[in-house]
Amino acid sequence: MNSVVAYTSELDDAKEAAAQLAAQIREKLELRKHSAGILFCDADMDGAAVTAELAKLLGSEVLGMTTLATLDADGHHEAAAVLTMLTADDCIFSASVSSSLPGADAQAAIIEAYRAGVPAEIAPGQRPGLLMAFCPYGLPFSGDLYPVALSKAAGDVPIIGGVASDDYDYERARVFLSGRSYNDAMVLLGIWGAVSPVFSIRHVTSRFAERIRRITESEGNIVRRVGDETFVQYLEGFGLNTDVSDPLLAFTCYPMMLTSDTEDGETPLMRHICALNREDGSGAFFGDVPVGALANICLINKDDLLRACRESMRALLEAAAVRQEYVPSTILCISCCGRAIILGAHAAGEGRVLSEMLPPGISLAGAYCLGEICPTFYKDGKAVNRFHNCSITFCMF
Amino acid sequence: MEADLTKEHSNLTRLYKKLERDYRALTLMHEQTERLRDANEAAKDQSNFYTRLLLENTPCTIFMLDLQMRFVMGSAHLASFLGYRDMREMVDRPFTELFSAMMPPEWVESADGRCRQTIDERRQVSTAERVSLKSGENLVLQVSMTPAEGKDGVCRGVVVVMNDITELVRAREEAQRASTAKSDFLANMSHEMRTPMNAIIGMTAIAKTSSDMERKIYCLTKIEDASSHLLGVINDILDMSKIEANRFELSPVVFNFEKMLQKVVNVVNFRVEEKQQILTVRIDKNIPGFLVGDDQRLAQVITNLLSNAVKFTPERGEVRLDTGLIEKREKLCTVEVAVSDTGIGISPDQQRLLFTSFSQADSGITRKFGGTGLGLAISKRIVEMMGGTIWVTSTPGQGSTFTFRFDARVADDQGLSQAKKLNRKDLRVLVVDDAPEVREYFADILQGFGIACDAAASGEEALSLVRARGSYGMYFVDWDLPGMSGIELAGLLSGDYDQDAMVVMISSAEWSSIEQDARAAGVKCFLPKPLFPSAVFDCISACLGAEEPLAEQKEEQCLPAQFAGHRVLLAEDVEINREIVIALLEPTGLDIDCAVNGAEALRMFSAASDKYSMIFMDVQMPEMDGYEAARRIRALDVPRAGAVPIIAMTANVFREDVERCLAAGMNDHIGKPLNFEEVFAKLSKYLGHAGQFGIYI
Repeated sequence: MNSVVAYTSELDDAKEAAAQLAAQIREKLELRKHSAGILFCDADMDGAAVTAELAKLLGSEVLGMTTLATLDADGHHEAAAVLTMLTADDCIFSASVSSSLPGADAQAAIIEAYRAGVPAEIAPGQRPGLLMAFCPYGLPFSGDLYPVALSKAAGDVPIIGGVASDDYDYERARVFLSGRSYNDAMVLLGIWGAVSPVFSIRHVTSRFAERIRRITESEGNIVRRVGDETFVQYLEGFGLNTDVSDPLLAFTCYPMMLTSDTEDGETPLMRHICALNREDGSGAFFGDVPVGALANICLINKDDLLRACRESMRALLEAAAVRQEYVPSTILCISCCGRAIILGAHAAGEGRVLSEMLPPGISLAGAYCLGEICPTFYKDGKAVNRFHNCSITFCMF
Repeated sequence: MEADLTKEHSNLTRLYKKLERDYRALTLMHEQTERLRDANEAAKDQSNFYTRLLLENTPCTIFMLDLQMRFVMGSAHLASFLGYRDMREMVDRPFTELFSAMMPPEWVESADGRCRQTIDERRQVSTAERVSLKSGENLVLQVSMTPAEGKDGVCRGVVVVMNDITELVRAREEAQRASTAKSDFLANMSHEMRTPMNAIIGMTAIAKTSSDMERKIYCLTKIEDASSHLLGVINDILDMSKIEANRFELSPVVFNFEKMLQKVVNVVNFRVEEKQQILTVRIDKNIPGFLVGDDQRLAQVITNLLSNAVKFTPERGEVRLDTGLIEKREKLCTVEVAVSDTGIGISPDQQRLLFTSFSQADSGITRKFGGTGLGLAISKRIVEMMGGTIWVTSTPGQGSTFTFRFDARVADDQGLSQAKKLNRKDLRVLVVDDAPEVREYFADILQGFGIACDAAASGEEALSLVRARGSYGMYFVDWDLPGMSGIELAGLLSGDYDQDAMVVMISSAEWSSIEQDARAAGVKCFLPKPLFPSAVFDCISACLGAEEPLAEQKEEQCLPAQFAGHRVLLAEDVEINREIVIALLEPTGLDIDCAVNGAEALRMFSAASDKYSMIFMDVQMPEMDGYEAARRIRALDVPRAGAVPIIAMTANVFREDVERCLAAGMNDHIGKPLNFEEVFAKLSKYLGHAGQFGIYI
C-alpha cells in the first residue's frame, strides 16, 4: 500500500479546496488499482461538496469527518483540511454508510453498514484487515456502541476511528462519504487484503484528585451514584462547579478515570463528562461507566499530555519496527479534542512532537475527536476494540 | 482584490471564533482549577487534621526521620515515652540524642544503623528484639523501618514503627508452654492407657495358654487390676474434658461424712499395706455427721490426695488424713481436709504447676510413678465448685501437706444424725498403742461416746495400769507394740489378769494373717486401722452386746440376691457384652432373653409383656436406639408397658446421658463397665419391689 497526505487551508471554496488537494495527490502519488481518500477538515468546510469533487477528480471514494484541528507531517493546523490518499494493488478499499443511527436499532444499523461495505469480490467469511469508523456526535447512546456493534459484525478486526468534532459549538460536526454529509450516521472504510496495522494508545493518568469512590449506580453511560453520593455531589466534593452551561468544556481537563476488574484484568479507562443533570444528580459520559468500577478524577497538564503523545508514538514505531515482513506507509492519529483544548496556547505541541518523530517515507494525518476508537491490548496480548476519551491513539499500516 | 479581502475576512472571522472558543474553554477550566485547588487545600487540611489526630492518639510508637536521621514527626506516645511534653520539642533533633536518655547505647547505635540501611537499600527492615531500658524495665519491641518514598520515588527518610509486644510474647510463650504440656500430656496418656492395655492383653494371652488354674486366677487378678486402672485413667480424661468444656457439675446428696472417708480409705488401704506405710485418720468430732454435697466428687478429691501421698511416700513412711470443722454458720459449715505424708516433697517451683491441667511437678515423675497428671487439676476444680480452695505446703525430702476446704450444707435432721451414745458410764476402756496420736485420738473418740478411757504406750505400762487400777471392761491393744507385743499382752490380760477380759486387737495388718495367734491369746475382736469413730462404736456395741449398729449401715450391706422366677429382657447389640451380663447374673437364677437392638426388644416385649420383670437397655444400638425403644415401650398399649422397670445399661455415663435416659422413660441407669455390686443393687431395688413402679400407669 502507498499513501500521501495533502493539505489545504481553503475552507470556503469547496471546488478550489478539492482541486488543491487533488493536485497534491496527483503530484506525489501514482494511483494504483484500488484507492480511497480520508478527509479530516474544519467544520467550516463543506465536506460533502469537497468529497464529491475529490471523488470525481481522483476517481475514488472519499470519506471523512469534521475536526477541531488537523495533524499532518508539518504539525498541527487550525482551520484546515488534510486528505490522506491510500492506494494499493493488493488491497481493496470499501466505504459504506449506516442508516440514521438514532433510529430504532443503532446496533443493527451499524452491523448493516459493515455488511453493505463488504466488496462483492470478497469471499464469504473473509474479513478486512482494518476498519476505519467515523462517527457522528451527539447521539443519544454510549460511544461504546460503535466498537461493540462493529466487533459483532466484523469479529476481532481492529478498528481505528473517532467521533467527529467542531469548535465546541456541537452543531456542525459531520461525517462524509463522497458527496454526502451526515450528522446522524456513521461512515466506514474497510481495507481488505494486504494490510497489517499496529496500534498505540496512551491516556494521561499520572496525577489524580485522590477522591477514589466506587460507582454504585449507573446505566450505560449515565452515572447516578458514586459511593453514597449522587454523581453531581461526587463532583462537587472535589470543589468543582457543576452549575455550568457547557459541562464538556468545564470538565475537559478533569476526565474521570475508571478502574474495574474485568476478565481481561485491571484496565484503566478514561471518560469525559458530556452532560450533567442537576435535578437527579446524574451525569452522562461519552462511553459506558460500569457499576463497581473505582472512579477518580485525573488532573491533566501540558507536560503530561506531550509526554503521553511522545510515549505513544514511540511505542507505535517500536511495534511497527519488529514487523519486518510488512512495510507500512501511513500513520493515522486520532487524538482527543480535550487534549487540544487543555494544551491551549500550546495546542500545536502534539503536532510538533509527531513531526519530530515521524520516520521518513511515512505519511501522517490526524484529527481531534470527541471520543476515540482503538484496540486496547491486555496483559495476555489480546486486543479488544474499545471506545476511549482523553487518549491519543495511533494506527500505523 | 475584493475576493482576497473577502477571503481574508473569512479567515479572520474564523480565527476570531476559534480564539473565542479557546478563551471560553480556558475561562471555564481556570475557574474549575481554582475551585479544585481550594478543595484540595481543604482536603489537605483535613488530612493533616486526621494525621495529627492519629499521631496524638495512637498507642503505637511511630515516627519519621529525615535522611540525616533527624526527627521530623511522630506520635504523642513516642514523645511521652521519651519524656518530651510536645512533639515540637523533638523536631530536628538527632535520633541518637532523642533515644539515648531511655534506651541502652548499643540499641541506639544498632537502630541508627538499621535506619540508614533502610534508606540505603530502599527496603523495609523488621525485627523483634528484647531491650533493657535504662529504667531497668525489660521490653520486647517489634521494630519496623520503612523507607519514606514519595510518589516520585524520591526517598525522604525513614518511617519507624515500634510496638511493645512484651505482653504478646509473654502470652505466646505461655501458650507454647501450654501446648507443650498438652503434647506431653497426650504422650503420657498414650503411655498410661497402653500400659494397662499391655497388661490386659498380655495376661489374657498367658491365661489362655496356661492350664494351671492358680496361674489363670493370678492372670485374671492382674487383668482386673489393670482394667480398673485403665478405667481410672479414662475417668480422669473425661472429667478433664468436661472441666475444659465447662460442663463439669456437682450432684449434691445427703451423705455420711465418716462413711465417705471410710470408703476412701478402703480404696487406698491395700496400697498402704503393700508399702507397709502407716495411715492415720483423724475425724473432727465437731463435723456434722451428715452433710449435703457431692460425696462422690469429694471422695474423688480425697482419694486423689491420699493416692498421691501413698504413691510418693516411701515404704514404711507415714500418711495422715486430718479433718476439721473450720466454721459452722447455721446450716452451713466449712470443713478442712488435710493429707500429709513423709514423702519426697515438692519444690516451690514445682508447686506452682501442680494444680495446672496436664502438668506434673516433674515430667520424670510420670515415668517413675505414673499417673495422668490430671488428678490435682480435677481436684482443684471440684473444690472450687464446692466454694473452697486447695493448697499445698511442702519441703522437698520431708514431705507434703495438701489441704483443702469446702463448704457444705448440714443435712436436715431426719433421724440420720442420731447421736452415738453408749449408756455405759460404768465401762472403762484401756487403749494400748505406742503412737501418742492414736492414744489421743482414741481417747477423744471414746469421750465422745461418754466412755472413760485410760491409755498406755506399751504392754508394760498397760499391765502397770491394770495392776494399779484394776481390770478394765475393754482393752484395745495394738498388735505392733514395741517390746512386749500386742499378742503377748493380750495373752497376759486374758490369762493372768482378767480371764473375762474383752481384748480387741487394733492393727493395720490383715486380720487373717494374725487371727490365729490373736484368738489363741484370747483376743475377742479385731478393729482395723485407721480408726473410725463409728467402727469403734460398732466394735464396742458388738462386743458388749449393746445397741445394734445404725440401720443405715445395714442398708448398705449388699448381699447377692436370688431372683429365680424372674425373667429379664436384655437389649444389647454387642455379643461380648451380652455374654458378660448373662455370666454375671447366672448366680442369681434370673432367666434372661436377649435382643440385639431396640427394635427387637420392642417386638419381644410387645409379644409377651407379662413375661418380663425388668429390661436392661443399652443405648447405642443399630436400627433403633435405647431411647427410642424405651419411649415406644412406654407408649405400648399392652400390660405393664408403663410399669416394667427399664434400666439403661450404657457406656454413656455423663449426667446429661443419665437425664436423657430418664427422659426417655427409663427408671434408672447403670454405667459400663459394669460394677457387679451395682447391678445387684438395681436388681434388688426393682425386683424386690416388683409391681410398685407404676409411674407411667
